[in-house]
Amino acid sequence: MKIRLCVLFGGRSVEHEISIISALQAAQNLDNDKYEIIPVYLTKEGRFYTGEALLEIENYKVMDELKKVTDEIVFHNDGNEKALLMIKKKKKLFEKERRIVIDAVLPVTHGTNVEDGALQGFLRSLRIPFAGCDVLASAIGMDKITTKRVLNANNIPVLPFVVIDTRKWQHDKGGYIKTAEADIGYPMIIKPADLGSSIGIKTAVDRKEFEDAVSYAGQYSFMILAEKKIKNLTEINCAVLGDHEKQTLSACERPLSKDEILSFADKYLSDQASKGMSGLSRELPANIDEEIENVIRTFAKNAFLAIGACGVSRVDFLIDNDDGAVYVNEINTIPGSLSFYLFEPAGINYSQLLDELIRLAFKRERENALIDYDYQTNILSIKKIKGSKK
Amino acid sequence: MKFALYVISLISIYIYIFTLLKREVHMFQQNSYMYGRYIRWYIRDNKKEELRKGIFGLLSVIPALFGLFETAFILFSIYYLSLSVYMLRTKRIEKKKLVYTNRVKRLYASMILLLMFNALYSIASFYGALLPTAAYMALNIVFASIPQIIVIIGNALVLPAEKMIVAWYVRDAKKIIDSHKNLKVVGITGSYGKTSTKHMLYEILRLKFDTLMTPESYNTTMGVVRTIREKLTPVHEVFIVEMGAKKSYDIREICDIVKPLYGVITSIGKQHLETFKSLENIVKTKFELFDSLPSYGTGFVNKDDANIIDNLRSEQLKFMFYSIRTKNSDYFLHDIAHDAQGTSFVITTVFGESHSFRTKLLGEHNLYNILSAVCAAHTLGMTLDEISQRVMDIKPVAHRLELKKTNDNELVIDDAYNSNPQGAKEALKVLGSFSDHTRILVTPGMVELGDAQDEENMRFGEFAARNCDHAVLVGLKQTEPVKKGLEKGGFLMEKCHVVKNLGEALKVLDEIKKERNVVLFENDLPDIYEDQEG
Repeated sequence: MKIRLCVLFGGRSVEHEISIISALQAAQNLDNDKYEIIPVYLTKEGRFYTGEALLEIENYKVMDELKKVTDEIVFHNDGNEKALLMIKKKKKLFEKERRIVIDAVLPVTHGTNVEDGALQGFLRSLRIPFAGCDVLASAIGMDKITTKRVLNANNIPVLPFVVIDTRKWQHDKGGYIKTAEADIGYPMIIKPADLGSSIGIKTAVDRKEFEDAVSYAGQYSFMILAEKKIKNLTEINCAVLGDHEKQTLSACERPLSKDEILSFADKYLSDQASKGMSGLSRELPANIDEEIENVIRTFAKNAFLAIGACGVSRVDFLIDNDDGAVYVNEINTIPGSLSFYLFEPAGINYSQLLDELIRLAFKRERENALIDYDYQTNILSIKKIKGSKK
Repeated sequence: MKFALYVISLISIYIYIFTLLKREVHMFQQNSYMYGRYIRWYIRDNKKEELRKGIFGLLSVIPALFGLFETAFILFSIYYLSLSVYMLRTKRIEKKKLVYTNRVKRLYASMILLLMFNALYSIASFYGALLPTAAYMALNIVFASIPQIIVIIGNALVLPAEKMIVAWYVRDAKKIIDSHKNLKVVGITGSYGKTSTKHMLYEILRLKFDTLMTPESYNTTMGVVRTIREKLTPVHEVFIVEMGAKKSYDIREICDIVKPLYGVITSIGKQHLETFKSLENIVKTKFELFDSLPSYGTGFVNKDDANIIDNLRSEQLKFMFYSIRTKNSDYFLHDIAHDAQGTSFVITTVFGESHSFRTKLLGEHNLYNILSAVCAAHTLGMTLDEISQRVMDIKPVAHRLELKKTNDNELVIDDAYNSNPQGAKEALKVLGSFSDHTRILVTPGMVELGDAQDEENMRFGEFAARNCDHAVLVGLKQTEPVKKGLEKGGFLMEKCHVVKNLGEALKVLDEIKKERNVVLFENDLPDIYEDQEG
C-alpha cells in the first residue's frame, strides 16, 4: 500500500514557473516504493488539473495542449476519503464518478496566494493533510513586516525598518520620508512586503531614488518596507527541517552574486533556470567563521520556532561585515527546490527530506485531531435530545 | 374464459406475495441472514397474520369443489387483490429501515426466479390433470400464507454465491493487510473490557501513531473485513482490532486476516457460555489470539485473572504481565487514590521506570483497561510520560461511574446506567474510598435480575453498609432487600432513609449533606440528570 500523495504546484504568483520546476524535481525524488504520485497543477486562473502529462516539463510549453491531455479536478473530502473529483467529463451510462483518492498534499508552491497561507487554509478547511507550514506560519513568513515584528518580539535581530502603505503614500509622502531618513538613513533598500522572490526591490541613496523605489515596489504590493542597506554585506542562508518538537538544521550557504542585490534575472532566468533554486551559484557550505555560523544556526532555529513553522523553511540572514552583526532578513516557508541541496551536506538526501516532510504532515494532522473542536453543548438543537440508555 | 380467470387469480396472489416480501427480507436482514434466528423470530415474535389470511383465502376455493371454477377464481382474485391493496396502503413504522445492499438485491433476484418458475408451472399445468393444478395452486397459497418459506428457499439458492462473495471480501482484506508492510496490528479480546481497552489504547496511541480501530460493534470477521476495506489507508501505522467471539475459531478467523503482532486478552469469564458450552472452550477461543501471534510478537497478560494465568503456556511467545495485585509483574499498578479529579496511581515497569498517572475515570475495571493499554502503548514505543498525558485526557462514558463536581464541597459519582451487581460493587468500593467525605448512596436497588434479584440486592446492601455513611433508598417496596442487607451489614439504621421518589430523595439529601460530600447515584436514576443537563 503506497501513500497516495498529491504534489501540488503552480498558482497565481510571480513564481508560478519556478514552482513547476521545484515540483517536478520533488516528484522525481519521491520514493516510488512508498508513494503513488499524483501531480496537480493549479493554473493562474485558479483551476486544478491532474494527469501524467504534468510530470514532463516539455508539456508546459503549449498550455492549451496540456489542458487537453489532463483532467480538471476539484478537491473533495467526503468525511472518510479525501479525493480529487474529475469534472466536466461526460459520464457514460453506469460509469461511476471518476475520483482519485489521496492521502495528503505536498504543496510545492511559491509566492503570494499559495505560500502565504491561502492555499494552506483551503486545504485545512477541507481537512486534507498537507506538508509544510500551516496557515499562520505561512502568512507570517510571507509578509516581511509581520515576520520582522514577530522576530523582534522573540529577540531575534532584524534590521530596523519603516513601513510604507502605498495607499497613504501620496497624502503623507513628507511624513514617510522624514521618518525613514531619521530612523534608517541612506542608503536604503525598498521592497514590497509580501513577495517571495527579489522582485520589486531597489536601492535608494537619496530622496529622489527613494520616491522612485517606493513607486516601483508599489506595483507589487500595497505594503512596502524600507530598511537600512548594509554596505559591507554577506548573505547566508540556513534551512530548518522539523516542527515544534524537533528541528534539524541544514548546512549554511552563501549565495554568490555580481550585483549588490539578487535581481530576478540573476535569480531565476540564468542558463541554469531549469534547476530552480538549486541551480544558483553559491558557496556551499559557506566559508564563514564558526562562531558566526553557530549564531546563525541558533537564530535560524529560533526564527523557525517563533513563527511556528513546520516542514522545511529557509531562513535568510544578512551579516554586516563591519561590525559582525547578524540579522534575519526573511523566512521562506516553501523555499525554492525545498532547500534539498542545503540538507545534502548535512547527510539528508532529497528523498529522505521529502519523507520527513510527509511524516510531519501526518504528525500535525494527528496532533490537530487531539484538539476538541466539538464543544459539548449543541446550540443548534433547540430541544435537548434525551440520552437513551441503549 | 376459465383460463383467463385462472391467470388473473394467479396474478392476484403473486401481487399479494410481493407486497409481503419486503417485510420478510427486512426481518431476515435484521436477523443477520441467519436461519436459526429468523425462524426463532417467526415462531416467537411474528403475529402470523399472513397465515390467518391464508386459511381464510382457502374459503374462496370452496366453490371449486362443486365444479364452480369460475366463481372460485373470481372470489380468489378479489380476495387477494383487496389484501394487496390493504398491504400497500398500510404503512409500517420501522426503527431501522431495510438496507438495499447487494446481498438483498441478489436475494430478491433469487426469490423472483423461484416464484416465476412456480408461476410458469402453474400455468402450464392448467390443461393437464386437475391434481397438479390444484397442487401448484395450493403451493401458491402456502407461499402467501408463510412467505418466510420463499425467503428461506431463495436464500438457500444464493447461499453458495454469497459464501463465495464473502470469501472474496476476506481475500481482498487479507491482500490489503499484506500489502501494508509497516502496519502494526494489535488484537484485543476478552470476555469483559475489550471495547473500553480498545478505546483507551486508541486514545493513547493517536498522539504518536496514525491509528485505526475497528468501530463500535464491528468485532466480527465481516466487521473487521469491512473496516479494512473501507477505512484502512496507507497512512495508518497501527490497527487496533477488537475481536469478539461467540464460538470456537471465531478469533482465529479474524487473526488469519489481520495477522496481529500484539495481543491483549483482557479477561476471561463465562460470557456466551450457552454457545461455547464450557469455560474450557471460552478459554481456548480467547487464546486463539496468543496462538496466532508470531514468535517476535508480544502478548499482554492480565496476571490477576486466574482463567488466563492458569491456561497460559509459554513456548516461544514473549509475554508482558500486568497486575494490580502482585508486585512481581512487568507492569505493576499501585498506590491508587481517589479525589475530586478522579483517580491517581503509579505504574512501575520491569525496566525500572516508575511514573505517576492521573485519570478522570473511576473503578478498578477501568484501571485494568488503562493498565493493559499502557503496556501495549509502551511496548509500541511511546514513553510513559507521553502515555500519561493521554491517559489524563480519556473521558468517562456518561452515567457510567462518571465523576462530577457539582460545587466546591460536593462530588457526584453518576453510575445511573449501571445495572449489574459486579459494577454496583465496584461503584460502592469507589464511594468507600472517599474516607474524608460524607459518603451518601442514593439507589433504587437493582432490577431485572430475575430470580436472583432479592438475593443480589441484599448482598448489595450488605456491601454498601461498609462503604457509605448514609443510604437513601428510593422506592418503598422494591428497596426492602437492600435495607435488609444494610441491617445485616451492621449499618446504623437511622442513617438509612427510605423515600418514595427522587424528589423526596433530593430533599433528604439536602438535609444530610455536611461540609464535604460525595454522592453516589447507583442504577436507573436517569431523570435527575436529564434535568441538570438540560
